[in-house]
Amino acid sequence: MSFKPLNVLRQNVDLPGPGETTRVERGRLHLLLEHKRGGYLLVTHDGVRSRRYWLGLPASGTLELRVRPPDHRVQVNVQEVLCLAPGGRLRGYVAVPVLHRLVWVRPDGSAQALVDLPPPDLQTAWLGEGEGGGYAHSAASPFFVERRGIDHELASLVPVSVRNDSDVVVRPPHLAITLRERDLLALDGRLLAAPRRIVFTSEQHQRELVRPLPATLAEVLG
Amino acid sequence: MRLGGLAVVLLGVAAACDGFGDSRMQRLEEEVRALRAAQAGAPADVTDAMAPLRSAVEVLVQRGEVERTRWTALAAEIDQLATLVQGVVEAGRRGEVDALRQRIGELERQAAERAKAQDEDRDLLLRALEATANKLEAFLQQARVRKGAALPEGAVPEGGRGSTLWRSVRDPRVLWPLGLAVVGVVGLLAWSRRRRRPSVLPLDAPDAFVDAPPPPSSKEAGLDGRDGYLTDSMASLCGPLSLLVEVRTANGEAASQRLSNWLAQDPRVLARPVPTFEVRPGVLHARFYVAAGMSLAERNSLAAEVRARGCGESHADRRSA
Repeated sequence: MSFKPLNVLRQNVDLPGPGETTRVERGRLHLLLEHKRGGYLLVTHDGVRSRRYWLGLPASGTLELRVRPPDHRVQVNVQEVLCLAPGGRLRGYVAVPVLHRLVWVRPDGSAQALVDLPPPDLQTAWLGEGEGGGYAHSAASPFFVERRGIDHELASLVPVSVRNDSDVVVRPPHLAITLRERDLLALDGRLLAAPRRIVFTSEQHQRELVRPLPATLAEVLG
Repeated sequence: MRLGGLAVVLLGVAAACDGFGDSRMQRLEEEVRALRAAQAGAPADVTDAMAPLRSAVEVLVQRGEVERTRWTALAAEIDQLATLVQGVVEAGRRGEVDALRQRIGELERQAAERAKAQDEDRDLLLRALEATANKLEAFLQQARVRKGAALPEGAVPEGGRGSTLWRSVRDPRVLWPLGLAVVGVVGLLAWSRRRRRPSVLPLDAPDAFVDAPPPPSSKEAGLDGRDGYLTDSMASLCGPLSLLVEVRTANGEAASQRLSNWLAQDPRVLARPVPTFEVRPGVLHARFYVAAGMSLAERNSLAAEVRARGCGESHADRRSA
């Protein structure tokens, strides 16, 4: 079993010469970078709408397209209805949209964010103050039972194990998932997140546990 | 490494079968000879042969250093944040800030302890590697000397060779260093596997991610309507920013419907609090909310786009104009 790692977490974007353009495609996300009159015109299209940015970039440094996790917890609305009897368990995968960010990396290695490219299918809401408040994202995803055959280039596949520890049947309205940067892994040209265990103590209360991703020996040995 | 593994197998077989037949030993020796012939291009020096393992350990150590640096920077940033927040929160919430500062102090102490443990681990690993390389080197040299004494160069292989190898392996002066080397390598592998073994941790465990405390209201933080960037950590603490856009249009109802659909699809606009629209004669007031981390330039750009959409212009129209 051999996976061919492809680093989709960080991609170098070539700066075009005068009059030239550079194209980057990542699923539905299209970037077009054009060198015009000393500046760079960036046109982005996320599958729904396009935006334009003018970038002023110095001669030394590199432009990178990086993937980063959502800033806040994501309430994943599963498209199917999950029904868990007391003590029941389900295993599968959900897709959580990730954010892309254009980053300018200076020759000394320091990186600074230029443009954020939020995915159109990741909504953000303010849930008020207090416990359970703050910002939260919401996204919709099917509940996949296996990883193969799923093509989500703009989303990270999160292995989840959902368990009902309560005494009643639980039909969770959503699965709350918090992704961290170190939870993301580029595997086989796709994005995979650290596995989760979501334990329901009641229909409204869920507890999320994460299994940290180890640094693989193959990655260490290069 | 392969040679070491083979030596382990040899030892195990030898220990298990004391009365090993000459013919089987001869076959075993031929296999060893074939393996050595295959490894003729491999580095003869054990230190060279173990260079990949050494580099891997060094990479692991460097990663630990990077993690430690990141941890320290994070603690410093949170400390600075707590200092900033302490000046603006009400007296009733000072206790929370103090608790946060204590927690930061605890985190820094843990980071220092972890750094010290990492240094000790690194020294232990490097010492183990050195010892393993030395023992293996000594063993190989001894085996070569014994083989050279028993078999002159160019001699035809005989059945007695198996017994020479057998004697050299069973010699206590060889057996002990070899055993120590094998134990060292196996221990190193086990230690590495233990470090890499994933473990399930709750998100609220001290070693894992700690959820941010409930964010204070924007008024308490004194950041309502401020211009410019906020850092990500600060932005997650502040409430949403409201944007009020005045759209001049003759048909306010149609414009509000159009804008409502458009805002619902924009990921920069918060779904909650929901956008509100107020229709007045000849003008439409649209109020919507964005996250506190959005820059002033981006907010202005969004407001301009909303104004244009409300008037019925599309992005392409504006561009062509």
